[in-house]
Amino acid sequence: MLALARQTVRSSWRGYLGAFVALLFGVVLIAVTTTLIGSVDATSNLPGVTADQRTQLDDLAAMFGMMSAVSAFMALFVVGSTFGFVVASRRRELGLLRLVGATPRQVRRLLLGESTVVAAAATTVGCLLGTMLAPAVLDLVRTIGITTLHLEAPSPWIAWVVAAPAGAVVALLGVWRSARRASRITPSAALREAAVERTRPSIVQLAVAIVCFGGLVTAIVLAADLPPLFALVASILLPEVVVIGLLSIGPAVIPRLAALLARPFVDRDVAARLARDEVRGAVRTTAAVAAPVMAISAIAGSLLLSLSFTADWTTAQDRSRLRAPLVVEAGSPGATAAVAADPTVAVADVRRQVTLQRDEDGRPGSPDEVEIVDLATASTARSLTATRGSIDDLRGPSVAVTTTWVTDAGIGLGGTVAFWIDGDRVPLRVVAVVPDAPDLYGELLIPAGLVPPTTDGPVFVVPHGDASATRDSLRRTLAGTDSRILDASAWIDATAAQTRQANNVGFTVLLGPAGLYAAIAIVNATLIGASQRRRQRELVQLLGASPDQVRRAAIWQAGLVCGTALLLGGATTAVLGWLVRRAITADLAAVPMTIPWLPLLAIGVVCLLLTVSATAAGLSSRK
Amino acid sequence: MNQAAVTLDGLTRTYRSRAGSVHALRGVTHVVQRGTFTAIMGPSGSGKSTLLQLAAGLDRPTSGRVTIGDTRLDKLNETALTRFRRTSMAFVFQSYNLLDSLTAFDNVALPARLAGRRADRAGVLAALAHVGLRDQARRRPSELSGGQQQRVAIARAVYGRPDVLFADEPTGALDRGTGRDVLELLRSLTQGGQSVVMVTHDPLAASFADGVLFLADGQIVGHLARADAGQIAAAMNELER
Ligand SMILES: Nc1ncnc2c1ncn2[C@@H]1O[C@H](COP(=O)(O)OP(=O)(O)O)[C@@H](O)[C@H]1O
Ligand SMILES: [Mg+2]
Repeated sequence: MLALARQTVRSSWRGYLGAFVALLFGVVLIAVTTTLIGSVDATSNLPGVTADQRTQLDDLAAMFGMMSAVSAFMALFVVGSTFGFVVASRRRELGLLRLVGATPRQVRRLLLGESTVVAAAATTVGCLLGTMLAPAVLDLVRTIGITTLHLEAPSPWIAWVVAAPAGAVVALLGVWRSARRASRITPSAALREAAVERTRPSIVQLAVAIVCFGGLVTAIVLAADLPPLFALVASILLPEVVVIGLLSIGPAVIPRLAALLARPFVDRDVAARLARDEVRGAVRTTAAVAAPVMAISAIAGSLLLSLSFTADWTTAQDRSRLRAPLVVEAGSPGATAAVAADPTVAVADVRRQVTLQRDEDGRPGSPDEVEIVDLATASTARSLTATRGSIDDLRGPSVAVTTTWVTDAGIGLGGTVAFWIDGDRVPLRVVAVVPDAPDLYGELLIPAGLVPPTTDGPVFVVPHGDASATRDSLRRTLAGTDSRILDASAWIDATAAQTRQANNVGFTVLLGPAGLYAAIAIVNATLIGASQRRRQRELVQLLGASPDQVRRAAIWQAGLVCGTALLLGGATTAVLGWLVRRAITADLAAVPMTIPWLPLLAIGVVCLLLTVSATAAGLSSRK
Repeated sequence: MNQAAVTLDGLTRTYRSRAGSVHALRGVTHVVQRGTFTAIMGPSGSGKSTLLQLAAGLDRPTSGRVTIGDTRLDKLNETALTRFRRTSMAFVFQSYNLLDSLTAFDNVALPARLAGRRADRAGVLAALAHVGLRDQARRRPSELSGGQQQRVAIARAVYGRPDVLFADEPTGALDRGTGRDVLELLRSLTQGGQSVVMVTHDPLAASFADGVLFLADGQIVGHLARADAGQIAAAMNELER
């Protein structure tokens, strides 16, 4: 059996090369992201890490964790689908094997044997490559400015232990699933040349789809009651769920949708008609090529949209709470004091923060940014008011918290939060819950006098009389101190721009590796699909299609499949965007909506370009 | 000993599809004797291939039953049927008879290997020599002509010595001369006691058989024994009128 496996791998090498490539890069991807997590861990175990560095490391760990999760999903999803596809495309050969006397079990064993050989090779090479790439990736993380810390390289076995088994197991699972179906092929399938592929989903596939879409529907129903930040998290996790659901019924859905998409063109171009028929006939190829496009467009699109909506939300909150008409970004502590001393200034409300360690089981634990507020000024300049409890009680050992923090931490009004201040454990009572306004104040607010502040932020200025008079006066007072004086709305715009900038960096880090992998997977799947359509193409040419018609049909086909996948990815994006939007507007009415059209369109265009150019390359390489 | 190699008893087969039901076979009863060469003829769409597939257990009848030697196929599950097919039947089709990835030698040896037996080298080579391909043993199907591929498939049957060989238009894609070689080979198998059931639409090919069965519209409509090509062609013309 093993000898037979070796020989058949040799003949279906094109498909297996594709599977090899998908798994190889999948393992590299998982190895690299695991290395990043490992490096954060290794660095934080070094002696002499400061509290500030620890905060940075915690943030990095969270970011890399999310990145690994998305990458792992992409890799495993593509690997499973590619291996399954390669098996499914060998119908006729397997039918022939059954005809000459292979039992279903023998067919299964043969397929598993073949794939084990391929998977073992890909996993080994992938892990080696991942280990070699790790130092370069750690350098890259510093170069693009994700962190200023020097990350320690962890020992390489971490990547091996995670990436190798994950990749191999998923590859074999994909094969096992297809092999089970393939082994049930009747021997007479070998006789029917262009057997029409089955599109009806199995019970298991239907069940998976129902569970996935059930989850989505539940989230939609709950959307209005979700805190916006939870909706954001949901919009990162749900696309994966939706994509799995879509792909499990993919062979039934995708070809039909593609045919619908082709409808306006089939009467105008015979190549479009050929492409439409081919997309409908070769359902497995269609679904497999669509898979990576659909996954990346749904995941990236949803993340883009919800990050943008969340930025809209925080900006709207800032705007609705900021009462001060002027904001000064002081260049020095002296400048901050000078603002307060200016005779035209009625209230100078300084944003002040300190990093305190939360109490964890009687010991100083993870650091938190805490806002130190002067009630008298903050209630005027930042309209600091309580939605529950009373902000006036914020004196002595007490703390006010934001609505989001309450949902997040599960501690509400009347509860206790303990911090370590100067070596002592200080319990603070929650006396008020305030609305969120992320750029005006943080999630935890304590009264002045408990601890001295460590950092001064912007000064929110309420003038005695006319704002422009105060601005002129401040401009004179602060001349030469490198300070900036801004109108409230200009300051909010600038802050919003900064948030979006940070979001973009976050987006790039989160999806960069997965996106790169998706690009490889798209090209890979397109090339496998093209090599499997060769016989069909030769037949069409025999029947009198000109080389140009054949080429156009192939391009049409690529466009149709990719377009359909983008349509599904786009629909997922729209639904999840709506979900976040709904959670936001339930929280705060009249939030403006910014749709990042350019990046969204860019995703679509890049996917289309990749599929079409891979198809063109596949065509020309065969001459 | 039972002299019947293949017994077909009241076979019907109805294909159901969205376009409606097709009654491909409407009650076929026939016995193929051991060591004989039977040809099945009929117009296109008359159910010849369907009949062959039912007889070989590649497909299950809607009603009726098939017995090969003393074994009733309806009593066997898929795996048992596969094992039985491995030892008792061989197949030759119009095209695509061989695994592209295997050499002629490995294709001939495959059923034995699937059965968990070692392929005996001399035996496989002898089978290939019988069909005149001793020197092509190491070639793959892509390096063989259509007729040579058919002969490798026959060598597979020679080597395995199954009781029945089923052939569906085995000469359909071959030129006269090559087709003639293939038919001679099929006939030679019956001398060793094996039976051959062959579907064809070519009267000349059918004239190599001991008996010809005429099928029309899913039913047996006639039978000729030891007829020449002219008689068979005349009978076919009668049918197609
Ligand atoms: N898998 C199938 N599904 C539906 N109809 C079929 C199928 N196979 C054959 N048929 C129909 O059954 C009839 C007999 O087919 P077949 O046995 O292939 O005829 P022949 O080999 O004599 O040309 C035809 O009308 C054909 O269209
Ligand atoms: Mg036929």
